[in-house]
Amino acid sequence: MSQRRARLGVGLSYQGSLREFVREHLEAYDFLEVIPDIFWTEEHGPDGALRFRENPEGLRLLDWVAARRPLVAHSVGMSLGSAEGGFSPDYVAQLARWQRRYHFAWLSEHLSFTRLPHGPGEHMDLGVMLPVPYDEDTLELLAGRVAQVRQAVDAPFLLENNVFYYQLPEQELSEPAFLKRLGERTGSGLLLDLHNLHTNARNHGFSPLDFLEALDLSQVVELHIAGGYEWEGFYLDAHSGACPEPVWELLEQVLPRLPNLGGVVFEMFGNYAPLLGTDILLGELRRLRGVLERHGGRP
Amino acid sequence: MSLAGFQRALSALVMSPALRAEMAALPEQELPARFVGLELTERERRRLHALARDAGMKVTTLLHRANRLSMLTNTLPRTSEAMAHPKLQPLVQRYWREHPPTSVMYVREARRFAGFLLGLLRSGELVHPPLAELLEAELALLELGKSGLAMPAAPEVPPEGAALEQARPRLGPWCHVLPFRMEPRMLLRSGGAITLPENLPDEERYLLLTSVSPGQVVPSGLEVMRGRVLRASTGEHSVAWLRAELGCPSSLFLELAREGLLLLGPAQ
Repeated sequence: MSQRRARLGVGLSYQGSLREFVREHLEAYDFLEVIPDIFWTEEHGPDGALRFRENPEGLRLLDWVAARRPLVAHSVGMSLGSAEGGFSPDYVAQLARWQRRYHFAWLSEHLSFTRLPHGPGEHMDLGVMLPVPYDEDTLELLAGRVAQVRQAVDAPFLLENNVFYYQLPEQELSEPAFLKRLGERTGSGLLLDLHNLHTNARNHGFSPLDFLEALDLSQVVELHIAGGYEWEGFYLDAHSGACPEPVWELLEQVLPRLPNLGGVVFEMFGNYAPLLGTDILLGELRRLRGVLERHGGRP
Repeated sequence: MSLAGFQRALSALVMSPALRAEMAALPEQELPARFVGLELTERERRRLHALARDAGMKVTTLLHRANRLSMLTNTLPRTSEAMAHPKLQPLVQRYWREHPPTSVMYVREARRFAGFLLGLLRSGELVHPPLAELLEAELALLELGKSGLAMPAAPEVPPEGAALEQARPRLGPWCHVLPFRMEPRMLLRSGGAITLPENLPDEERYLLLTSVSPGQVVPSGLEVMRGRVLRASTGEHSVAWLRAELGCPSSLFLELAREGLLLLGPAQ
């Protein structure tokens, strides 16, 4: 299984509302992170297996970008942490087909569950990434799933640290210890989302620097940065615009400690892009490039 | 596996603030009736009780609901706006209650919601002609936009004379025509906030949706006879039959073909 790692630089997370932006501002990003799920519709066939109806317009755009910039895949539908009825070999096979078509530099997924069984051949999808308990038996479950993904998809596989707004008591492992153990056990890398970390640290009152200390930073292949806002006493990982200063500071602090970093991606939800305009996006990508250059150029 | 039961219970708590309140009011050793039958460890029971009292659960519920809502506001924006009317809003709640989220696929969820509403409209349980026309139009607009089809830059050269009379016209697959008695501009996202009329005028009006480039669909009004011709052009009948039936000249078929709306050549 290939674990090659590309050094890609400044990444942009693709959203449908950015289809003109990615064509008109190629110079602003070195690689594009795509959520494959937004380019297809899942349907259940008569045999109960998942079918994927791909959007031809989306494929044309991806083909265009792939001819000019590397792509990485960030899936949202794997539901790795579902105890039953969510994780689907059909879905993984679809990702493997896309890997053969687009040669993603790596594939990532969230350390969470979103799907549950719901009637014969159906599932329920909550549309929100719910964290799994950081316990030994969850580690076992995930290790098996990660092995299946790595076996099927010929690309380095990364797991993303989750954002969570509630505290699950009596967990056997801390989040960084769980991530570290899972990486050691499976050979998967880490997509360290600094905005998720900032959000969790702020909402739950812990030091993000202590969290970073507890990780094995050699596992980090990709970083995410994003923006958010306050709502009723909580800070939300809303991907709603400019990245806040504490996240830029975390980025500056962690960058020199990541020997295997492949790229840093700025995330903004599609709904916000038309409201905020392209200047903010260009500004964040420029600033990110400046930070990377100060730390020795493309990672 | 008890994790499965725990995830089912956690998901139910995320989706229902009322269930959280019910559970928070129970003593630690009890569970809501809905969770009876779920295999749970003692630690998972304690976790669920803690979650029912955790203020962070309301944020998770907010995100869950915002995601569900955004699937509809992004795909059926004008219908979603119309559903905010106090008389219609309970139907959205009913839909969410009766149809748990099965997918984060926007188009699939839009079709599912549209199917729910159309079922009510067709059965007569909901009588609302303006909503019915808006929903049908917006669904057609969505499907055409996702089809990847676009009107060709150079329309086919139509046959003339006897060949025209025998041709069986078909609507270009990049178009859709449907009855629509409101202002077509209301379908545009930039058309401003909408309030649906109580009733529709008792007259014949048609809406033309044209995919001018992949993903870009333009709505426009249609003169009545053009609408009738386009609606009747299913490839089943000849131009001669249709013009006798509709009372229109052959030149109208030529005109529509030259505009790229009708196909008069042999079906591919």
